Formats: sequence, structure tokens, C-alpha cells
Amino acid sequence: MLDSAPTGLSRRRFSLTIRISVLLIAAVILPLLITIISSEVVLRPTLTGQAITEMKNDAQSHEQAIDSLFIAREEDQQALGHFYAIQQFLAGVPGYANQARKELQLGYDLDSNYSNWTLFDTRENILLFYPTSPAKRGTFAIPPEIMTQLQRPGKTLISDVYFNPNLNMAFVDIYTTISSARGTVVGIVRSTLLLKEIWTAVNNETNAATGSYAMILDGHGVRIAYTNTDTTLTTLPGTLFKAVAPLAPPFQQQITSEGLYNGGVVNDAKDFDPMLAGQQQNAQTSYQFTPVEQTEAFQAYQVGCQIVPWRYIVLRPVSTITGAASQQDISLLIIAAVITLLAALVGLLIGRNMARPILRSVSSLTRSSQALKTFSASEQARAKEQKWIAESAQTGLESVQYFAKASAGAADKLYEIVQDLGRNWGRLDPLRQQQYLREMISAADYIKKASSHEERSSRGLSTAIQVTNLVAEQLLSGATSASEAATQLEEVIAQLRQVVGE
Amino acid sequence: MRSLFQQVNRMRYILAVAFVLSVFLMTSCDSSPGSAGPFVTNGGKGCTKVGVLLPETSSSARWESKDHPLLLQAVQAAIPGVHIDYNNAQGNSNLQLQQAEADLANGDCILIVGAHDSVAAAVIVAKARAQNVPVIAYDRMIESKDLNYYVSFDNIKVGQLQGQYIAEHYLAYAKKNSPVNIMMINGSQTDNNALLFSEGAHIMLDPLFGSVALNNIYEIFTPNWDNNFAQSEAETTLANQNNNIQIAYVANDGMAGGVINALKVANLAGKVLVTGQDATAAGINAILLGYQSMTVYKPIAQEARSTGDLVKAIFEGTHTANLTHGATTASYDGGLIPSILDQPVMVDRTNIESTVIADSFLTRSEVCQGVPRGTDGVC
Repeated sequence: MLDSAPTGLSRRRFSLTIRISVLLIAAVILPLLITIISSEVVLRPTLTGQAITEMKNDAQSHEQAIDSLFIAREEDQQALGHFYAIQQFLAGVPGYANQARKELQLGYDLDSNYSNWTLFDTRENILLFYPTSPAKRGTFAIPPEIMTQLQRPGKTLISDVYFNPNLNMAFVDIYTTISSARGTVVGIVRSTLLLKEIWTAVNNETNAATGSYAMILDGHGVRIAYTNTDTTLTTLPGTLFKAVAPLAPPFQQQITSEGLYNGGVVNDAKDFDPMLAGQQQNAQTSYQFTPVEQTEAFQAYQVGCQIVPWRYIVLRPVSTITGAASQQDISLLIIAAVITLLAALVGLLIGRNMARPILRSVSSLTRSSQALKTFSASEQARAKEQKWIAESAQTGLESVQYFAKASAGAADKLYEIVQDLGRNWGRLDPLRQQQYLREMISAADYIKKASSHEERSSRGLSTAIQVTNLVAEQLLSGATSASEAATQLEEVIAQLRQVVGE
Repeated sequence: MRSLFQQVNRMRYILAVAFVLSVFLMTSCDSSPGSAGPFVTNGGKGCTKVGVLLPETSSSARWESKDHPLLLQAVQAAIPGVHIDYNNAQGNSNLQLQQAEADLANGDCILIVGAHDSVAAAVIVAKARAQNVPVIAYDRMIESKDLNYYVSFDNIKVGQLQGQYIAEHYLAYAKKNSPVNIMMINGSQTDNNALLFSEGAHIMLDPLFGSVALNNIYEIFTPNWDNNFAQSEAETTLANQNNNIQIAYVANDGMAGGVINALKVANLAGKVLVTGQDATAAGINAILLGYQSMTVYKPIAQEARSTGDLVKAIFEGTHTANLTHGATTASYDGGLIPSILDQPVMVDRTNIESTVIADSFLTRSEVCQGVPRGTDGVC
């Protein structure tokens, strides 16, 4: 029975050492693997979310800065539009031209990005300017679609974007109607504001993160600001002043007639970007796409301005955003490989230390098992012998009893013959006497034979007793061996307990 | 032997538990800390935490010496047991925004903001509105249609008082056969009030410019109301004009001090008409010494009281129409902000006693330093 495995415990394919190593590796590696998985499931979206938040803050702060800039400039213009000398000059009151010009200068000095302040009458005639006479906008002093909006008092509006090739800078015009004391529109003040601050902010977007950039789309879907990778700023980005979607023919005509943008081809199909075009109506949104001028996916966040119909868009490569996660994955994999190796080595050492006494114990158990098996076989043989001897002794004893009984019967017969002979002594004829004598001889022979048989039986019984003694000694020896085997097993158990603990 | 297998199984369970714990710990390390959501208030009703944010300390002493204590006093009178978070932005719009954000995060449910930058402070209004916190623009307009209230003075009127004083006194500084030259040093171009002061002054002065009774030699806005910058501008102008300046329109007392320093260097102190604003102790002192001609007294106590009245109405949830009397101020984005516009008062050496001293706005000891005894019946 001992040579078969315990019920329900099949023999393992791998050794305890290997299994401990594997368990240690699993205990160490699985958390790392789960961390990597969680990195994919949790960290990457978290990083993307954080980047979107950063981009949102970035885009919002720039949008607010743009709005603040234009609010302040509109306030400049509205305030100057209320200045008495300007109002009087436009109303045609003589003597105010000099002071009105000084007030234009005052307005011009309010912001270093002003390039010109000009006063128009209501028929678009230039009446006064500072510092120099302004150039026409295409073929117009004031573009018609702007002029049509400047009919009511206090109206302020901001033009589309132009480009000054001499300054290599974009600009917008800010128009405000000026009213007389009686509330009628007497003229228009126009300030020309260079977009230097805005372009600088867009160019500085590269500082936000590796590969990041920004652009501003105007209400027509034209890129009016775009991060310039030329740090000398002597050349313009290729997609600057390019539309993201086909422009309506009337606006294309307007671009030409009013000299909008930089005079180049704005409506160029190769620069169309359906994703950017599709987000035109979203005031604030985040999306992921591959810009037409790029070769990898970018995360974008766009915020619509309040004062001008522009969209400030911050873009950051997705690879940059998730770079930390990728780097972490690589680090974790390296750590996992190193730890796997260490865990395997430690597992082997631990396993070996654990297995060695166990193997010793198994060996002892095997020996004990063999000894017990041998003892068992011996016990079986002794038991059979014992049984046989007992049976022999029983037969011998019955034989002795039989012969004793037969001898007793023969002796009784002989006694009767002798008694009968004694009583009839002298009256017996010789024939009878001879008969008695033959009977006595026969009884004596019988007794002799019975005694002989009894002696043989006694000898056999004596032999059986001797054998029984021998078997008893052997059984005692076997019991001693079993006791020793049990002691060995106890030692094995003690050793195993030492290995595994209580 | 069975116990050995049980031990091995137990070890396996321990390893499994350790693994689960380690995963839990590792994953828990990734979890971002939760953050409490923003406070959402009841539009200021029942509010007992008020944030007071003032713009600066450098250009005018009024903010710390007057507005700060008067506002706190007014708010404490309006809301018994109120907790007030006070901050001064030290002339930094970003710092002011951070201070406002901190106030909102701390649960302040009414904000009183003396904006450093009228436009930049619109973000404060937006953030406060997101938490249903009413904002009162104090002294300086915030350009947002979401602004709840505006308490200030009639700022065009301030400029008009300054211009009117010049118009009424410039002839006293005229030289024979020579135009009266004026330099105009306005306030900060980032402060919409500065534009309004200038607008008011021009309403009064432009006719004189038009008639060449006055010759506007130089005019500039002064970044951050910087007194040193004003002095530097005055020095430059005096040098450029060979000291031929008779009038110095200066938007406030702080900058007027700088201009007076420049005039002293040119030995013109007391010989040039110098305007100012805010009725600071230094300004009144300069008037008493004859270096400055006038200032505009904006009863800050009244402005603070008006603000306190609004705070009280917001706290109690009562109507404010009886405080604003229907007055509004337009924001750039089309908003009409309910406003309390208190009236400014012109102060020169003739009415110091009846205005700033009588109102306890200033004390004699504050304004009489270095002034001969008996001057103008004040010292």
C-alpha cells in the first residue's frame, strides 16, 4: 500500500523547486504585469486627460489673452472716440485738428502694437491720421462690408486679417463710429493693430511640450496664426493664410478685392483639413486627428474667442502625451525581466533548501517502506508457519491422546485377561491357556506399538513447540523492526515539520 | 504527509493574498487624490464669508490706508460675525486671480474686487459666477456682463473736475505773449478708469486746446500708475520744453508727487498748476505747501458704505434697486451693470477743512507735516 500515491494526490510534473520559483516569479511579476495593463487601461487615458487639461488651460489662457487684448483695444478706441477734440474735429468745428491729431497719437501710444490711427468721415475719406497715411485695403479705404456695418453710433468692429509684408506681420483694423453731442455719426476712427503679441504667443507654443504647436483659425476657416519653426521669423509657415476648407466664391473675391491675408493662394485644396473644418462650430472641444501637414496623430484642444470669431487651437503629438506611459512600460518590462531572473534564482535556492530535507525524508520513508514491506512478508510467512505448527501440534496431540487411549484400552484388555486367567487358573485347558496367552501377547504388542506411536507423536509435538518458540522469537524480532520503522517515520515527520513549520 | 501538502497550499494562498495586496497597493498608488468640488453658494444670500481683493499698494496709499479698513468696517457692519478674506494684488493681475481663486476655494460667497486690470479681472467674475458667487466691482469696473454690481465714483466727473479746475485757473499761470503749456500725465492704460478720467478732463480742456488758449505739449498714459514713471516723464518733458510748462495735469496724487519732485529739480515747484486725485495725505500736504493745486476727494468712506449696503442687501436677499436707483454702467460686451456711482468732490486749499478734515478722512497731523502753522486755517 505504501508504494502507491495517496488518494487524490497525483504526482506533480514539476519539482517543488521549480514550482516555488514559478510561484515567486508569479507573485513578483503579476503585479508588474497588471501595472503595465493598468498603465494601458488607466495611465494612458489619465495622461491624455491631464494633457487635455493642460492644453485646455493653455488654449483658454491664450483665448482670454486675445479677448483681453481686443477688449482693451476696443476700450481705447471707444474712449478716444469720446474725446472732445476728435468729436469736434469730425463734426467740422474748426481749430480742433491739431488736438485731434494729438489724441490720435495718444491712442497710438496706448499700445505698442498699434501701427496707425486714422479718422475718416462718413464717406470713407481720410481726414486725419497718425503717424503715417494709411495704405488702402485692397482697392478700398474702408472695405464695403465693413462700411455697411458702421452706420450706427458707438459701433465697434474688428476686421479680417491683413498682412504687412514690410513688417512681416499680420494686422487687423478696429473701427468705431464717432458721434456728435447730438448722437449722430460724424466719423469713424480706425486703429490698425499688429498681431505681434498673438503671433508670439502662438510661436511660443513649442515651449509647452515637445512637438506641440498652435494655430488660430479665423471665422472663414483660414489659418491666421501658426507656430513658426523659423526662429529668425524671416519666413512664414507653409500653411499660414491657408484655408482648412473650400472658401465660398464671394469671399474669395473679397480676399482679392480687399487685399486680405498675404495675397497668396488661400483656397488651396492641399491644405484643406476636414477635421479642423468640421470643428468650426464648436466653441470649445478636444479631438484627436492627424493634421494635414503632419504625419502623426495629434491631440487638439480648441477654444473659440469671444471678441473675434477666431479659434485658438493647441496641438500636441499623442506620442508625446503618452510618452510617459510608454517609458513607464519599458521601465516596468526591464524591471520585470530583472525581477523574474532574481525571483527564479531565489526560488531555486529556496526550493532547493526546502526540497533537500524533504528528499532526505522521502528517502528515509522509502527505506522505511521497504523495511515495513519486508517485515510484512516475513510476518505473513511466520503467521502461516504458526498456523501450520498449531495444526500439527493439534494433530500430534490428538495422536498422542489416541495412542494413550489405545494403550489404556490394551492395558485394560490385558488386565481383564490376567484377571480372568487368575480366576480360572488350573481350570483352563491348554488350548484356552494358549488363547489367553496369545491375547496377552497381542495386547502387549498393541501397547508397544501404541507407545511407539505416542513417542513419535510426542517428538512431533516437541518439534512443534520448538518451532513455535522460534516463530515467537521471530515475531518479537518483527515487532522490534516495526517499532524501529515507526521511530524512523517519527523522525521523518519531525524533519518535514522542521522544513514546513507547524 | 498530508499536513505538508496543506502547508504548501497555505503558502500558495499566502502568496496569492500577498499578490492581491501588492496589486491593490500598486494600483492604489495610481489613483489620483480626490478633490472636493467647488462650493456652490446661494447667490450670496446668508453668506458669512466675504472676499475683499484690492489692486495694489504702490501707486496710491489709499488702498491700504483707506479702502482696506473702511471696506472691512462696512462689511462687518453689514454682516454680523462675518469672516473676511482680505488680499492685495500688489499690482499683479495674475496674483489677483490666484487670490480670488483661493477665496472661492475657501468658500467665500461674496467677492468685492478692486480690479488691477479691468479686463483681466473678467476671469474672476466668470469663476465666481460658476459658483454662484456675486461679485461687486469696487472702484474699478470689471469688463464682464456677468458682473453683479459696480460701486465707484462718476469717473468722467473726476476728470471733469480736474479739467474744470485747470480751465478756471490756467490764466493765473499764463505768461505774457506766451501760450500756457500743459503736460498731461494720465493713469494706467490698463485701468478703464484712467481712460474715463482722461475723457472727462478732455471734455473740459479740449475747447481750450482748440482755441489755443492751452497748448497740450505732451500727453501720456502711465503704466501701472507708476509714480516714478510719472516723475521721469515730467523730467523729460520739462527738459524738452526748457522748463516752459505751466500746467501739469496729473491723474492722481501719487503721480503728482513724482511730478512735483521733477518740478522741484527744475525749481518750478509751486509755480506750476498740478492736479491730482484721491485726496491722499501727501496730496493734501502738497496742496498746503503750495506744490499741488488741487485733488479730487472721492469720499472713500461713502464708497465703502455703498459697498457695505450692497453686501447687506445680498446677504439679506433684498432688492438692490433702492441702492442703485436704476444706475447702470455698460461693459464692453453689452452688459448693463447695476451701479452705485458716488459723486467726487474737488478739493483745493480753500476747502480742505470742510471736506477731508471734516469727514475725518484725514487728520491734521497727517496733512500738516512741514506746513507752516496757520496755513489755510488747517494747520
